Amino acid sequence: MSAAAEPLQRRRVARFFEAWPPTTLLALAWIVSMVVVALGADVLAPYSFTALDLRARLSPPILLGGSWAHALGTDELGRDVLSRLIMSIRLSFLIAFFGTLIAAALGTTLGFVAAHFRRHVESLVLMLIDFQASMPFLIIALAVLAFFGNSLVLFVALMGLNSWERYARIARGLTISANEQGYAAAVRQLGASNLRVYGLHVLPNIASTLIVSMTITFPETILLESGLSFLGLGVQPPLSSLGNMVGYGREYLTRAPWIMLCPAAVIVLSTLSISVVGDWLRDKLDPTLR
Amino acid sequence: MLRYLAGRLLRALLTIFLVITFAFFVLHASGDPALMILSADAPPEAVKAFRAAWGLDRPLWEQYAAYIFHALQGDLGNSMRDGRPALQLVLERVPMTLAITVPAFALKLAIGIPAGIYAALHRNSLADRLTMMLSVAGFTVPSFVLALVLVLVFAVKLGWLPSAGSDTAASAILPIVTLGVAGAAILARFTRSAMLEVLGQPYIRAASAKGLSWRRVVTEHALPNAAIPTTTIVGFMVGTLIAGAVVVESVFAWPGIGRLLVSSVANRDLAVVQVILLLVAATMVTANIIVDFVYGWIDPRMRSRGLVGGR
Repeated sequence: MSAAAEPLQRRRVARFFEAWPPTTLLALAWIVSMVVVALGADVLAPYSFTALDLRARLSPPILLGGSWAHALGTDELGRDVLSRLIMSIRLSFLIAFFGTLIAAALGTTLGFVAAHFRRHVESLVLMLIDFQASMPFLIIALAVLAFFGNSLVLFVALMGLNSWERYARIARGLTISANEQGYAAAVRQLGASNLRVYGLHVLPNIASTLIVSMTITFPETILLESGLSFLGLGVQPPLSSLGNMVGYGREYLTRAPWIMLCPAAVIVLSTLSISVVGDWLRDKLDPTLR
Repeated sequence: MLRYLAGRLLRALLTIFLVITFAFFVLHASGDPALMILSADAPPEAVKAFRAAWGLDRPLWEQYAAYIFHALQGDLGNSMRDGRPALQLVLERVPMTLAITVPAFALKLAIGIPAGIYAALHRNSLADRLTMMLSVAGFTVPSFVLALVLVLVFAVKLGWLPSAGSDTAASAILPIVTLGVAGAAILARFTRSAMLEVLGQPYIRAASAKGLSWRRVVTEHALPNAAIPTTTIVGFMVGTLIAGAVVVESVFAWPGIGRLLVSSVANRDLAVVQVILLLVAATMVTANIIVDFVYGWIDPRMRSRGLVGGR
């Protein structure tokens, strides 16, 4: 190897890590593995998440001297913590994913509507935004959930109502300025329908900002879901989400802290990773937000 | 000035009215509290009598009109669980909640703002990175996880503090720390970015260029300007003094508003939930009005534009 090749190699490595900082890579790896776990939950879970192993109740995880049969230990009923964790990851991510999607779709649409019609429609949307922003959503969610009973569909819809106002505000602002720019007017002059103007021309132009917002609302939704489930008012047994598991593990805090610590660690690492990737995406896609 | 104040108050009342209406219809459109309170296999006569006693057999709009009519006279209904006035039941819990949220609020301000300012003034230093790392953790660690970890360390392992309840003054420490740490992290991040924004402005360079000491540049030019965005988030925190501790109160079995809300929600105690929603809305709205006035006080530009009130 020649003497000149080595610095070049090193520079290449340095440049690579400049574009992909190690923390971002770690965060991405974590997110990808969570998505894989969520998608392949049925294959990956060593046991059924409701299967009881009464001979191995409250068996500790490997690091605390447990056996490989239950790598992350078991709970009071002898259910495998790893299997429950995997199913919980699937449900929590599913709820957060659809919640975020609903919020983004609803908020963006309302933002478009407000920016398109202006006047009364706009002030109505702005009033809804103010209302949403002025009430702590956890309180509203609590009230709605308890009184409407608890179906998973309703719960996901409720999660979708959490952060729509962020998208509405962004979409409205950006659309108003887009409408003042030439391109929206130009396609409109060519005879494009409103749906086409907003769906095919304005949306792609503001998409990067909306995607960055999704990286903010996705962890928020995970936190909201797990908070409500922790209180026993979110996902209901026999289904299990990360928040449920923490809530259940709280009862065994002294005897079996791993029941609580495993899902708690997943929540923290996931929200942290998405935030890190979100920051990185924001710097890449939309320097104006910095 | 007076017109501004009147308009602001009117909007505040409208918001509160909307919250009451929203709560009323959501809560009443959603299942029968009679069956919930009396259990599902109660005799039909008992259910009927219960409905008649609480006016649940009348049309919804009639119930709504009666509710508003009574609410305007200060009567917000009775708890379906123990028959006492809901307002009284809720107000009894307020001091307990404030006993942890007010010290937590002080803790947030005392840690969050200085940390944010320091981090901004020493950008990219070790302290700055550490502050930012901790503040990201403050965002991403849910309060119930933080609470349980604190319990695990300080109550279970070390045995220094009680894990739950409200018997001694020491019981309040863990709830206060849980609430305070998370809030301080958020506040530090906001303060830092507000400061960085201000420090990049031309007037800071101008102030430095005309020979002011850095200390005076910071205290007289940077801090007052950075105070504006920080006020917004602090105001929001004031608004959550009543309702911000739902999860933490549940973890620590702290008998405040939050636990009352969770148990009333689980019991379908309509009147109590409504009063709590009303109280939360009123607190948020009041906090917003206060923030508007503080804006006017710290930023004369807003005063002269007539956007907000002031002296």
